[in-house]
Amino acid sequence: MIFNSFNFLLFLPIVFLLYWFVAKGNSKYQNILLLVSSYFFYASWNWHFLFLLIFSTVLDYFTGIKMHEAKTKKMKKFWFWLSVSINLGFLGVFKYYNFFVESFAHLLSGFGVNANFATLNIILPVGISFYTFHGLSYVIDIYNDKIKPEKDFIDYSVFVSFFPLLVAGPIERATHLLPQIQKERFFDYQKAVDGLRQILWGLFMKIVVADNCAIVVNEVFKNQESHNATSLAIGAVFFAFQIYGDFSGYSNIALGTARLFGVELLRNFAFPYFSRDIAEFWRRWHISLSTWFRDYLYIPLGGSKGGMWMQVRNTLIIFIVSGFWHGANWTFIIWGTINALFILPLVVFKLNRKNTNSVAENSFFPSIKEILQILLTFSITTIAWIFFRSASVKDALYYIRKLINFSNYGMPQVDVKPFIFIAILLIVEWIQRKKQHGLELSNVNNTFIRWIIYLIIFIIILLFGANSDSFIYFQF
Amino acid sequence: MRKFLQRFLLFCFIIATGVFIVISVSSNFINSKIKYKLSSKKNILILGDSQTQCALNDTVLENSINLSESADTYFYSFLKLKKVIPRNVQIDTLILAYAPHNVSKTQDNWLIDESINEFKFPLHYFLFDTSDILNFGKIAPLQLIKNYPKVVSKNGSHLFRIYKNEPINKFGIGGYKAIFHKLNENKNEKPAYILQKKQYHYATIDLEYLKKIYKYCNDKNIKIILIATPFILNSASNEKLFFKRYKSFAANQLPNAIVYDYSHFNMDNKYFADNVHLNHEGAKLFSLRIKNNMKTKITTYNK
Repeated sequence: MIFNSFNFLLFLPIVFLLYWFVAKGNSKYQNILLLVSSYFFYASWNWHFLFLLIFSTVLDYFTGIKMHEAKTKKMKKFWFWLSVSINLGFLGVFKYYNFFVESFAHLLSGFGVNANFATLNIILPVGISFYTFHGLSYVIDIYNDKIKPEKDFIDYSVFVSFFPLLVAGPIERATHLLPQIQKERFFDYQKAVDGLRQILWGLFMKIVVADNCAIVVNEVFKNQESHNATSLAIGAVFFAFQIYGDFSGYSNIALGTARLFGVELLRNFAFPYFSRDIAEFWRRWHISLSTWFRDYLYIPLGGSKGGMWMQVRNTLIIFIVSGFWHGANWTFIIWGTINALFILPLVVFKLNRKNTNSVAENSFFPSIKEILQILLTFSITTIAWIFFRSASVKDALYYIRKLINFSNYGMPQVDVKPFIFIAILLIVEWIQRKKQHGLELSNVNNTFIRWIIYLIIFIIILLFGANSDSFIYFQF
Repeated sequence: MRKFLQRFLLFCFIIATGVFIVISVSSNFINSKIKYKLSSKKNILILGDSQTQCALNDTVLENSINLSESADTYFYSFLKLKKVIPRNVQIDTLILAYAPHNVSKTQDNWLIDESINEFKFPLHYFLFDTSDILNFGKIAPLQLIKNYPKVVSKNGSHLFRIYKNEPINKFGIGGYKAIFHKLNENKNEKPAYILQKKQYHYATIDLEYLKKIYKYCNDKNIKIILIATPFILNSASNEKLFFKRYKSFAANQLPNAIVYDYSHFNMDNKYFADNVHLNHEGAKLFSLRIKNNMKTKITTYNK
């Protein structure tokens, strides 16, 4: 059941009405309803993996309490590592086993040893990377005495499994989400309406921008040898917007849906393609993952405390790990490494926190300098995205080689219609760049104008929406 | 909460009404403007699924128009027939796809299949009249509801085609399709036309539409030729059994129809795009064969 499906269109109002009418006024009932709905939502993909989700939930709930109750530091450590190793163990088996086996066999073949290791025919449980990281953040926070364990199993289970964030985030923190789950939620008209707007904007991003770009991207990346460099350049740009529209669209729908239930989730995107340098980009792209790695990997590794080289090492590590988190393929690792290499000069010259404000903060239009900075940052990220999208490193290198051969340029051989949708997206997001999402209309007081805006977006979705089966980030 | 629900429902009502009006008006407009009227020389209408779509080239069979479309069931063929025939009294022959899979249970499944309806229903919606919508609603209610809003987009594309003055076979609802690759160039191809066991059962719903087509043509004195285009067959016994059965269905239920069973027609593999579709070269050859066959007295082939 994906967010832009008919099934979700039925599922959401039913849960919403039950939540606010049947379970109203009782947080216990509200949470039970959310948990049952979330499990139903998850089981609609593959009910077998529901047991894995429940097991992971029970494990972290139980080890969290045990850590807190541990009389000695040794025991606390024991429960901590038990949880971490089982969580990462599952992730390793389901997501990385085949990658390691194949890479090891490939390495041995380099030494002339022919090793045949059995690979497993494994289906990746949807959302495993997300809910595993949810659980890990909870366990780590308890271990570091930042939070106390949640005693109520239902509340904790909702924290892990809350359906808007279950399959592709945002990766929540116990400190942020659990207190909201523990208390009773009351219906907030403004919040609910803004949630619906955010859902509508998310649907536009996904169905109109991402899915239309996907048609061209799939064709170009599949048959790159038969396309000229212009088409490849368009394909790369479209992929940059496909993945943005897809994932940011998903996040908008997730955040908007959560707000319908009175829950605020962590913001995941903050108009990243208006970033003026790569460091700013990473503060605006997949924020919940970036901050997760910052808090649970970068800082424990020493962060920037151990001097420049420590900071360089740690930055490199988190980007490589971040790439690896996305998938068991060298393309993702190289994508992470490239991003690290782009950001490291800024780190070394202490320019990584230069652009912490909003672009064109005091004017409507950006300066020439800002435009050039934005274009350069976009180009850099787009080159890195080529590795992210390609099936193999070899394919990505071929793509880039062809792209930089200027004799290959000519008239585009692909449909350029998605540029219109990208332009709409960029114009709207530019106007709204200081807001939380593209359709936050708190400053539009006229109801008629607001409704006209909704209708226009609806019409665009109906007229130009393309079809797709899933969201890109579900595979991670 | 009450205000929220009231406003939300009002908004949904506006959207639903708007969508309904847009679809109704645009469908009527498309129907009034689309060129159903064919050249007076075209006296043969070809309908069916991808087999006839790829096998019968209507530039070779000059006096025909091929409106077959991939995954068309008899339900969709009937929709086209009802629109084209009244505007073209010169049409005296219908060539209709009729292979074992066309009468098998698969066809009923296609009528309710999610992925097929996702593209087919919105694309063909302008062909539906009220009774067809109601009938489709009975067959696949969920598909009707799910795919209805998508008609807006497809009708938009159709309006653009009308603006460009395109002929009916450029509307995506059917037309000869040339495939240029040869068999085995695609390594994933199955080696031969094989029916799965689950396909052995006859369709129920879709065969009713075959009977409707048959009755419609009989009432209008239109000759029906049921055609099985060439397949690459293996010696598996499963299809032999079914080939017998499907032919007996025609003999019993559609006695006035003429059956051209070319399923076992001896054609070199180079004329196939895959095990069930002829490529462009194969279509040329096969269409010539049919053309010659039709010049002479029509007889059943391999009956």
